Amino acid sequence: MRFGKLFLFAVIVAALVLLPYLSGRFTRTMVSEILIFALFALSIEVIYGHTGMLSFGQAGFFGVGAYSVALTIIHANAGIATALMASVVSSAAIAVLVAAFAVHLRGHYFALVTIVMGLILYYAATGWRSLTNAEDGLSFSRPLLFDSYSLSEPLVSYYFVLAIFLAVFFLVRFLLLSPLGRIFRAIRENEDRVRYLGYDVVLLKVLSFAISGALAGFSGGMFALFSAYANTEFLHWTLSGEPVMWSIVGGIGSIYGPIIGTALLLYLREGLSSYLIHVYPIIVGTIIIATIIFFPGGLAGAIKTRVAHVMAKRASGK
Amino acid sequence: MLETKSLSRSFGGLTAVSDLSIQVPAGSIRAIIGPNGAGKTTLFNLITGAVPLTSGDILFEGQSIANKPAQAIARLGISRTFQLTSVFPELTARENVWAGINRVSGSLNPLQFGSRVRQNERRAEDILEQVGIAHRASVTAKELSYGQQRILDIAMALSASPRLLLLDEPTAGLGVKETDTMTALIKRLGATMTVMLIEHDIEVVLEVADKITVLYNGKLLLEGPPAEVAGNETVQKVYLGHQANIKGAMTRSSHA
Amino acid sequence: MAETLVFQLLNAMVWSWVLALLALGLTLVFGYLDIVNVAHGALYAIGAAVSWWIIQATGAPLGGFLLSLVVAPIVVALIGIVAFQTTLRPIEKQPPIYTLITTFGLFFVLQHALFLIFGGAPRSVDLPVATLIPLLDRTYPLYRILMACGAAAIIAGLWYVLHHSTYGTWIRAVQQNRDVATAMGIPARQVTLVVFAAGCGLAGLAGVLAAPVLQVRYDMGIDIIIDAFIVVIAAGFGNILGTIIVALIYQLVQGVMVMMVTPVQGKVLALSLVLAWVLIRRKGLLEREKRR
Repeated sequence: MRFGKLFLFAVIVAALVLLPYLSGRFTRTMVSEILIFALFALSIEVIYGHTGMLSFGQAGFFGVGAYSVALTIIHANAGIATALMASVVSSAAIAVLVAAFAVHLRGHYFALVTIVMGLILYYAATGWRSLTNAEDGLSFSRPLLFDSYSLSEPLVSYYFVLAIFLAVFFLVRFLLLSPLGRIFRAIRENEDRVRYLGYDVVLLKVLSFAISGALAGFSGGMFALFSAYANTEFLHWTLSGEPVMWSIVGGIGSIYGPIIGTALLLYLREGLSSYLIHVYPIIVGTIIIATIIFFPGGLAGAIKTRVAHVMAKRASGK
Repeated sequence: MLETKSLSRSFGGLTAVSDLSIQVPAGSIRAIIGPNGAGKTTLFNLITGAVPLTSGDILFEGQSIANKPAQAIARLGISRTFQLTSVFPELTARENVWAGINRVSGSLNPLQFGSRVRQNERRAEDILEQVGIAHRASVTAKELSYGQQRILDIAMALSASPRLLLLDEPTAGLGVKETDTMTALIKRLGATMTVMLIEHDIEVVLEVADKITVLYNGKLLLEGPPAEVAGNETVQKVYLGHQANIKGAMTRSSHA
Repeated sequence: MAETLVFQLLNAMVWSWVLALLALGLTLVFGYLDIVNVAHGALYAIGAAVSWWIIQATGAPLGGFLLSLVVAPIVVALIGIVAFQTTLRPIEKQPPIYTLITTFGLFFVLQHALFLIFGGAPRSVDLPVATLIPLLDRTYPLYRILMACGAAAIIAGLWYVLHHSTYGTWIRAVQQNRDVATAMGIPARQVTLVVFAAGCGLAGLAGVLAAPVLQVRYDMGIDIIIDAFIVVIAAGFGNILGTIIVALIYQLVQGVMVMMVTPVQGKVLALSLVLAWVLIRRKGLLEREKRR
């Protein structure tokens, strides 16, 4: 099983590496977007899948991250690393600020406060036109990568996104499998008991929200870099719901679930041509409702159950 | 070890614990008994910082712990179990116990060496071995039987290396055989740490307790060695109504 | 300047009743069923769209409007019933947070289904009552006053039903302890369905009332639903009087602030105040949550 998993992983990575040679611009762009948005979805896995707090304000972080990149590049002539660092720091700082107050709330109330937080960021951004240029947004020219590669080159852009995705994916995986990730799960399961074991639950929840916010901000920064553009729609509350839906459909509680869900739903969206743009939300809405009712574990959960079933059958057959 | 000084707690107009002063010496097993609503669980909640106290003081090893946050009290060496089993259902039994050990002798630094994590996991297995469910270490808590979950609850309390252990009705809902196992376990634990337990099964109480504290309406009714309490007329009258035999009556009340 | 202020405040007061009506539907469904209905805004838009169709079909601004006051909430409530039975009933036993995700999915489905039927272009509805009443040196549409009165009357009726009718008692009994209520013979399943349908119906009614003042658009619910959520959060769930007061204050504060700052800045300020208020009051919210 372990070998099988590793093999599957190697095949997927190999396919991603070879993709530009196997397909055209359309697929390459779509896969790049999927990889960036998968990081956005992983931010939900950290805060909701592991720590059990549903955030419906992630677009706020995404937009702040995107603007951090745009503004540091435009006004401070920042390099790519600095710009991305700025997106992580700014969104994490906002997350800590909000979380310091909001983590005391449970269930619905936490979710609602994150919605309000996202709205404040959205309206603040649309109101501060001199800085953000509101819905018209900011275009910028991207600095060179390592002072020599241009992100306008399709291959550079694609491999840059892929490398970043793999690095962040392993970082998040490492974090969630570490003792910290385990305690996050313990908080999701039974927060009071964690407190009686002597842990500072408030601090841990703030930390979890900060990591989640930083991840969402980073994905926003990556998206701004990828499209050389940021506008205030990046902060809109309907975008906050997207990573939640991707994660639910893919399967919450597993690091692969949100990625699978993101790939599936974004592929679906690209697949439906532009005149069907209003059919896509109807289909996605239906999928999400059906998932909640029939497969609460999402696609990853369903696959896991199926594999376990087959394995058990095989074992009993022997 | 533990001392409460005129401890009081009221909820609105209701006084759950009133002017309660008790002392629990180190190394003893103390049973707290009393009818439903006597304030037993509230007493545990006050000691562990789950609810703030209205007046009075609580001293642990000579130091006041009144109104300290729950996690701070846990860090001083007080662990508890819960009337309704409180575990992490989706985590394995090993991970459930590991959580407490990691707090005491590990860290949440994601960069800590893997060997440290494995070492603490082995210690978690040792504790599971101690309480007799080591063979279920890799099973998620929700898949354990009810009795095993109650035992896991205790193993989790032990994982934080307590010097004072509070058990809230450890045998509630257990079968005869499981109750015997639990009784033996409590006795063994009493050899290495101070134990306070709330218990309705008087047979268990008489077997394990060094001293019994009887609460009634939040007040201290009587305190003494098991034989003395069992024979006390006031206890029988007030606590049991007009039952002649404390054993029969209390067993019945545990089934009520 | 002073004149503008008077009109701003008057508009705020009038509009606050429609907002309160919309917020009441939300707070009813949350307070009594523990469901955060994100689709509420889409239902509001459907109510407005149904009203537009009826007025178009009848060709009578007043008659069509009055007819839609009856028909639109029924249509919207029926949609609510279907949605509840197919999507929310099956997850009744799941953690309540699931309902937030489900209704978010519903919001997508309903809003874009409305687009497919209604189209993307904004349409306007004639004022059912065209009378303008002179005020200071200007005039003010009588309809707006009537709209506020209508919303107030509906709210009063709702309050009466909840607190002075047998069914209202049932609703409160089911909220407090569903199992005991069922044991006492109260049809809890029916009660939850009726509460949800009523909440949806209120959204539809708010849509009908607002249609002549605003333009009818398939996505007209997106912005106002946020205001309604803010009101509900600040007022506390299930609190009728609080909802009315907060809606009024929220509108007045915004009305005054647009005189000094831009509308968007006003919104940021108002939202920040609400957030601060909720976080300061969090103890109360916490205890409520623990009781569940």
